[in-house]
Amino acid sequence: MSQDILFITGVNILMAWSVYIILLSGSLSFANGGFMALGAYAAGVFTMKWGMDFYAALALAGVGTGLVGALVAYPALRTRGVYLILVTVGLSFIIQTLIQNTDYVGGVRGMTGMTGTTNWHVWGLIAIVGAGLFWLSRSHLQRQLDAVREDERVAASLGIDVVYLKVVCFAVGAGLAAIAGGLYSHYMVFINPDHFNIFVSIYVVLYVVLGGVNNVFGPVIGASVMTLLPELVRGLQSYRPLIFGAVIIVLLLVRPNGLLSFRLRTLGASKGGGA
Amino acid sequence: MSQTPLLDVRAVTKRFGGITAIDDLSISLFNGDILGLVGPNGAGKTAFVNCVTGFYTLSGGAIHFDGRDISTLPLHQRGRLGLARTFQNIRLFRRMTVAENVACALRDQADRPLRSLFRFGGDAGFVKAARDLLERVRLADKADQLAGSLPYGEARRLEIARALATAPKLLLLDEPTAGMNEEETQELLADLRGNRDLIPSMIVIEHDIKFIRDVSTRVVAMDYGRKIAEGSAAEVFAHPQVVEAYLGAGDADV
Amino acid sequence: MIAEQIVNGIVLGSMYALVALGYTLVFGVLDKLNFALSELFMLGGFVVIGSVGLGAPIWLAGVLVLVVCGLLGLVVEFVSFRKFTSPDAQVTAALSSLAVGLIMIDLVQKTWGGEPVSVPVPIEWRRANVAFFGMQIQVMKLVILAVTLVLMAVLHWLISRTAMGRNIRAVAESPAFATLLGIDVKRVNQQTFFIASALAGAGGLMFSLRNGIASSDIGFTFGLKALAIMAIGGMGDLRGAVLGGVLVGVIESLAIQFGFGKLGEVIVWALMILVLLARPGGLFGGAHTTEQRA
Repeated sequence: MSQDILFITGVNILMAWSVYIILLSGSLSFANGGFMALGAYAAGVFTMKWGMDFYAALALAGVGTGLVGALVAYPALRTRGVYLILVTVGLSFIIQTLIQNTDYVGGVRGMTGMTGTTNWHVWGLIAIVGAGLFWLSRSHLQRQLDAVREDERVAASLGIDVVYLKVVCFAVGAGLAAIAGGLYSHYMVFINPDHFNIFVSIYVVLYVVLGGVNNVFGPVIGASVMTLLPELVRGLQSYRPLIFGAVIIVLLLVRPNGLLSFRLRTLGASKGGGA
Repeated sequence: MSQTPLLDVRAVTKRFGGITAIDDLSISLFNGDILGLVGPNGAGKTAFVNCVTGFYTLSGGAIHFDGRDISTLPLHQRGRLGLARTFQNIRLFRRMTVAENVACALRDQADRPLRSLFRFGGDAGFVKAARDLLERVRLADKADQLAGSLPYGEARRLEIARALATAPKLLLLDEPTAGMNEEETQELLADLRGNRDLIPSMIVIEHDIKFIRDVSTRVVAMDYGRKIAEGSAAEVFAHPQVVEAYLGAGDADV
Repeated sequence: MIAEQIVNGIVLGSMYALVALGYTLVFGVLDKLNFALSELFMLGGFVVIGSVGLGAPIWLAGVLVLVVCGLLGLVVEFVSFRKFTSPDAQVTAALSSLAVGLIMIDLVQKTWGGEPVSVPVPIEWRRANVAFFGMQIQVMKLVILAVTLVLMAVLHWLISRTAMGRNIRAVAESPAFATLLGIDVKRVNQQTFFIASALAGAGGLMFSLRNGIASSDIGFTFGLKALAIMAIGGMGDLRGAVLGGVLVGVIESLAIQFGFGKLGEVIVWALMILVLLARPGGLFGGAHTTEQRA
């Protein structure tokens, strides 16, 4: 497998997880392509124009975008379901348009010159985030998040601070997307706003929907399958959106929670009962 | 017995557009009370619970709990102060297991939301505490079943166990015996009595008059959003306005 | 000239409004978002290209747009919405329709390639200008405006004066109640989808006529804006969709006039977010009572 494909698969996994993390608190975000863009451009500015160190730039881009994500959480508190989808879609467009109109980062022409990412960075981060998410799945916090997803008001009445959890999940998800973006821009060397259009946000959501929304492995499967399958089966490459779309449609009819729909439950022996 | 009421509902009003669900209602409850709340359908009993627990915002008046004005406090803070409730139509977390329903409501000492991430051993401590609570309502053997698969009576008990997990000072139960037969009702009564150590005070909304008599220390009757009678069960159910509200103009055994 | 741009904005807005009406119809009746409508907007231009390519005269091509897009709408209803009737399935249905949209884009790109394709518009149509209150306006723009007004009038007539419209309004009010009245909700859903999709296709047809080209990516770039319009006008409020469309069209045109270019888009989406947060009933005081708050 070529370095490029390995890299793109890794980035897609990180992006899928960024959606998953926000989904943990019950919000479906179509803004993660926008968060990725913020991270990609911010990290680029930090290394290219401010002369920062690669890791520091990534960290700062992640934290900064995380703060943006925390802000986005507030509208998320007051909107649900499809309304939240609209808000996050709007956010994606706003971010993309703002970048297109900012000459400091090259506007429509884009920015170039960023280097420094290797596959070790990406997959190392995957290992860290994966371990963290797995650890989370065995913790008390995961139960509380599950309760929030089941019934927010009841969860709150039990004393669970739903507002706080949503803000944290948005912040962490946005931050992860941003770091993925930073790694992306420093591998691709050249980026422009078209690389972060609404399709990016849509596709990463669909990776999670495809692979499974209820556990940490689902997004990995979804991202990997949709990235690698067209590569491995050469003839399929040009049919990627078609197959992807058809699979999603069928899946939503048959297994709405994705291929790996079980929840990682630590309390009991019975696995696979939850769909 | 303390002088200050644990729950002090002062002249509370709740309006929805043109409808007044609760009208200038004042109720006090002292620590240790089991208050029965009765009244015909639509009297405002569930609205009352919603106002106390924070599911509704107040249109007027104030609510004090444990010495604090909680009138504008959000849901989760009221939960943390010791208010717990069950729901008329049972709102369990159906896709989680029985044990998880209870465990998620447990809080540890330090109780900051992200703290549990830094705890080694996952949520083992919480699991044990959850099973202990399930023992108390005789559901321990179903700990790993999905909550959505429970029959009605057991689902009720699970809801109560979940409420117990929050270590409440006051538990509000909304028609807990609805749809239960005599035997199940007696079991529920036994469960509530048997767990008094975990529930210092209660408010119970019920239509089952016998149940109210058995369980309450005091009774309040409501109709059209207002309090129409207050006192012991015997007093309230003999009150002419209550009789009429419940039973219409005709005679019946109360 | 500002006045000219306002007229441009109204013309643009009326095309957006057609798609927004489509979204509003589906949302009003089924309480769900149909993302495939953006792609039916995109298809409008391509159906014309296809039918003219097969030898049809342009007026027939226009009718074909309505029919073909309407029929595709029925397919979308069957695939993405038939099974998902509960309110919880809002997101699932939306995602499914999104996937259908992706498939449509891909099919178009397979047939006509990824580059924009020119629409066979008679050259006189584009050249002819008319003097109107001191401005020079392309006749075609006035025709577009006229056609969209006619379509909206037809829609209004359908909704308020026909039995079908009465049924649609009943289901929009409450599907459960409508069933009690003996209304076939499934049929009403199908009718709604047909009308909504035909409108979206018509909007796209106008759009590609005005620009002279049909492009496979306008669904997600322009068509999605109809969502913003629907939210601004009040979700489920037909009149609001029209007013919102005009407002957005004017905002975008004026933004270009004053040199803000694409920032007009930012304003539109930001406005949508503000409305969703602060005035969920829409700017124009919509009537749809939906539980959107926590």
